[in-house]
Amino acid sequence: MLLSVQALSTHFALDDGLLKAVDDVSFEVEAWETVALVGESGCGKTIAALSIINLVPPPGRIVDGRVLFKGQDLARATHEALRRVRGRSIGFVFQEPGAALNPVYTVGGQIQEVALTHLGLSRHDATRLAVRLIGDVGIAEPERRARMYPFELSGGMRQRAAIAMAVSAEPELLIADEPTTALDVTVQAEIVDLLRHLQDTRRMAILLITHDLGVVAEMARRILVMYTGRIVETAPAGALFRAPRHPYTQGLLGSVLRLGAGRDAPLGGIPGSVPDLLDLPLGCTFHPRCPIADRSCEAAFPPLRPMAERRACACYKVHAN
Amino acid sequence: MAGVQRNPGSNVPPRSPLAVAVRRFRANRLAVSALYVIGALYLVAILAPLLAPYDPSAIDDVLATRYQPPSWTHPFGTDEFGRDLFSRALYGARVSLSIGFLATTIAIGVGTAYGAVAGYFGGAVDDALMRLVDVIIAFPTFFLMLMLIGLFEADIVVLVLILGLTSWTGTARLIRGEILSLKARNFIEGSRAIGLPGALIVVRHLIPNALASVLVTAALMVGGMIGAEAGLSFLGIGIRPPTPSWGNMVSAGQDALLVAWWIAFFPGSLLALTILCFNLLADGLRDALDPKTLMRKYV
Repeated sequence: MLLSVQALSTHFALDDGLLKAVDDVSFEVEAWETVALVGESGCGKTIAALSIINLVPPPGRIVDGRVLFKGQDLARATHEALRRVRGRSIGFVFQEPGAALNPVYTVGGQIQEVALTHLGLSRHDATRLAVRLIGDVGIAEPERRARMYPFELSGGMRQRAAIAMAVSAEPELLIADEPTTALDVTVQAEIVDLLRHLQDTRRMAILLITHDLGVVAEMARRILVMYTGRIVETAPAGALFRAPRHPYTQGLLGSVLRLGAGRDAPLGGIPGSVPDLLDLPLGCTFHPRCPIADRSCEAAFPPLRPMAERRACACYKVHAN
Repeated sequence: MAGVQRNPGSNVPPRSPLAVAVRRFRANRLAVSALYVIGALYLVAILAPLLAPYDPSAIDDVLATRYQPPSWTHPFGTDEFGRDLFSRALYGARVSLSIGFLATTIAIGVGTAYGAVAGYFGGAVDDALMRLVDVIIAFPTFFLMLMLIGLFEADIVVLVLILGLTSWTGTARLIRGEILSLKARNFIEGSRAIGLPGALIVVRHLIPNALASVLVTAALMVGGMIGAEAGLSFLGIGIRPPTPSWGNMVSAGQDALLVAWWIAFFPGSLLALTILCFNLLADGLRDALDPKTLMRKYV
């Protein structure tokens, strides 16, 4: 197992109370597979991703659980050990195109910096590697682009450069946090293709964090659905799209606009809105918005129960079959 | 790849933020002139022994040579001892300008390092360091300088240290603020996500981005330092005669102002000119380095 997250909880001690951004989350990522973590904005996806590389912004803190990456617990690793994993074994792509790029250095120089830090290459070799990577991520004229500054590139190209930087040390796991959200639709498709291509050629695992179910359908082998800091359903991608079990997943899939569904087909939605993480409903946090909830749902958060077909679902009303 | 250019802008060479800033600075004629004047003053100061027509401390036949108004032989006139004021002004430039430069270097160096540490580590470290700065600021700098000068013999080195070490607090605050706001920027999180060592993040990513403010502050500060040295020397507690500095030359000319205006006039004008030029330079740098417009695609 490449990555095994076990009962991870990341909390923020705020003035208004304790915000449980990630609460008792467990999942696994195998080598060379793509796992998608989906959910609405503010459900804790990004914090879960940052928790993996132990880079939660203060006052957030991993309060419980383990993040086993190749057997090493990153939740308890030293700064130095973490530094060697970040960028080396685990690459990270942020939502903002090229967020990882410093405005005062050239794109090539920054990609080169990763190679110098982690691979111990000579400056000359690092420069060549940077140019090759820029070509690998589909940027034309890599030699010239390497000498450009981030602000001279388009959003799509910046995101490509950021991806080049994230994969430069040949990580075994790439965490991509909403890599396409801030881009145009056509560029989104290109970035998805690029990630798939890189995954095939480099045999790395991808943990894809997104709320875009279209991207998920194209890339993921397994899907984790998150709601209010907890995982409510996990399933292989095909099974989840074919037959979502959790009422939240059903609502999420029902809210996607489908081509060819006819203009009068109703666009589904989930009533209500995502609850405030500081003021969660008791019991199952989804019950106020749930079409099938009853009194039993208000007692405690339902455990994630395993079901057939390697799935699991956290709902009292859904029964294993 | 030869032939077709898909992108019409493809022939434009990449423009670094620095190249953009240099081009914009060059367009500001006032600031460029100020830079030339400053350059000329420093050149003259460095070459003072070659340029000075007389020994700045030589006293000959006092009664015959003193209080001579500006003339071809003595362009700035002579003082009450008959010393050539032009030569003294040249040597005074060495003292005044080097004190301004060195004291600023110390203040900026200490302030930048201090502010960067406070801003980067944040939390309790930041609190402790910045409260210490508050305490230092609360202590009146001028009296601190007077006290220190009273304790030590005021030669150039001591004066540079005193001026430099009492003036870094503003820079520390400024840099801390810059670093704090930069830290919230995504690329810093990004550089942590790629596993760069903390020291490298500070030196390679935080300080260069804060450099624009550092440069502007430094340019402004050199003028201030030269003024401060002049003030102290004018009061007789800075550079002591016979070593000339513009400050003690103005001071010496004060008594004879009505009979020999030129004694105070020339060093005073040089002081004003120098400080003005540094202020103009700082203004020009600030406009050229404005980060809000520097990173735009088309400027």
